[in-house]
Amino acid sequence: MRRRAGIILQARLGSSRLPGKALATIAGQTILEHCLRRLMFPGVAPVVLATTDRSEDQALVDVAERLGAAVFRGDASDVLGRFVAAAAAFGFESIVRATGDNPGTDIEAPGRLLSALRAAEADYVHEQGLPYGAAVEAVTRDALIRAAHETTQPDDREHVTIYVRRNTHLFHVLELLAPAPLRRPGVRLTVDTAEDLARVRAIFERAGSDMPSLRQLIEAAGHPVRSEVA
Amino acid sequence: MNVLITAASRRVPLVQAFNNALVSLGVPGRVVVTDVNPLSPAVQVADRAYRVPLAHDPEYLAELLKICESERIGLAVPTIDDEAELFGAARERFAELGTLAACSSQSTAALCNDKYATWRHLAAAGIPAARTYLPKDLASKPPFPLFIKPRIGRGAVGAHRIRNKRELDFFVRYVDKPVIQEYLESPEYTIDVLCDLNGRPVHIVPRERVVIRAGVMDRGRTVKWPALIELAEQVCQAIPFVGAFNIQCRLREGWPAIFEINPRFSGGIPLTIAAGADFPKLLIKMALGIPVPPAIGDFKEGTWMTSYETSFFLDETSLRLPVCEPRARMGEVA
Repeated sequence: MRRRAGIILQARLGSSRLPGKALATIAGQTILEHCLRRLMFPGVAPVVLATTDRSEDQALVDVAERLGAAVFRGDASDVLGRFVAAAAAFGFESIVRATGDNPGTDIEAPGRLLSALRAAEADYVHEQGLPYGAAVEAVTRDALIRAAHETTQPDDREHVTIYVRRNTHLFHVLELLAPAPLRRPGVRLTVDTAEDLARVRAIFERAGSDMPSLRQLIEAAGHPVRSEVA
Repeated sequence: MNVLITAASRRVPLVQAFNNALVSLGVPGRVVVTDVNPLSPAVQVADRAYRVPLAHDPEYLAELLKICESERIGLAVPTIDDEAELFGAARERFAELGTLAACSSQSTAALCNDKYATWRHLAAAGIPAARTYLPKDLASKPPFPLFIKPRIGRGAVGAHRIRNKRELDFFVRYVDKPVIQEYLESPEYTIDVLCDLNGRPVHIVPRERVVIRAGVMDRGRTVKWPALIELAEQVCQAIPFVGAFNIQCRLREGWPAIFEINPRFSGGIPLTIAAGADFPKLLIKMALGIPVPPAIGDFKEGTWMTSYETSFFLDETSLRLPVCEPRARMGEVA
């Protein structure tokens, strides 16, 4: 039987290195808008913004609701708990986890990973080799629930899937290679610092589209992708 | 995960098998086919179909690559001998588009397409095969009957049984670049083999071809004879294969000897799938990057297939097969 799938984007305004970055603009849109639109575009699964119950994050909720994404608000520090609660609230049994600091998320990655999660009957799937900040990960709700019950380590609770990835004897963890044309691990597309923001702004500017594909971003970053058909 | 099946023609069950595999795996996707003729039956059951030139046309590969890019194909499955070498040589070009070309290398395809080279290679590896000669190497008084066929050939086209010297003299001139094989009078077996991307056999399914019509098995059954399975394992050690291929053999003194290897899906593959060796499902898994463990011998013995003809009835206005016009990439949509 096919499991109900959903995409959960975690985002908050509080960031130690670059406060408020989710609402920083790149090519005329906030980073949060880029993230949500790229995840919603292929229509493979409903998208939920999972943010904190802090009042400052109401601004993110407003953006998500304007774009038609669902919203879940939960614990600020226990992100793992927030994911489990969000998945339960929306009835998701398979979850794609995306993060709100990646405006260059691969548009097609959620579809690929959900396909692999189902086909391999895995608990967790991740792709290696994509540009830094382009990947998402897929995990079952059952695996997250088990992790939430079994770990109290702060890192496990903050980074959601670490416990599952680390305990390969408990979970069926699948590490896949990203599609060859997108395998450019040297390209950095995440926005973690002010320098990142400036670089990603320049890449989007060169890409010249309001929703550039990952190939276009890689090319704009100065790493040509051979795709011409002779 | 979208799947492309080229030269789909009459391979309706193969198209349906890939569709079923996507559904049973819970993988969203569609099956796209190519053909030269809008009347081809497989065109009628595919999710989408495109007209392409013949495989030897200089534009053939470019058309396929265009379809792969436009349709975001994750898995491309060639089906005919004519395109095997072309596909094998272009595997990296498909990979650059994110498409796994489920086929062996160009050198493997070339070896299998050349029946004399296949015999020499198998003989050198000590693998039982039907003795194969060029006309100049044949003894002046060979034992009849013999079998003659084009050295580079497709299916049963141009293959003839030779009963005497008079027929031999005629067919040596009649058949284009012929090879002559010893004639093995016995039941015929086809062994369907699936190899992973590293050439390791995943499935080996022998079946007896009980009734053959137009070169394709009409009635047959799966058999779990260890000698046939071991023969296929020997072949996999001697020749690097990727994806589906099939070995054809008959018996010499009660033991199997190979007379042909085809680096593509067999026409009788529906029986193998029905017996539990779901090649399409496993190829989709490979294209997704999911490891596929070997399951040699894991199929139901004694599964029979009996086939019948069926027809599609089409409105004349629906007989259109478009060529692929590249569409905007996802990122280029406003």
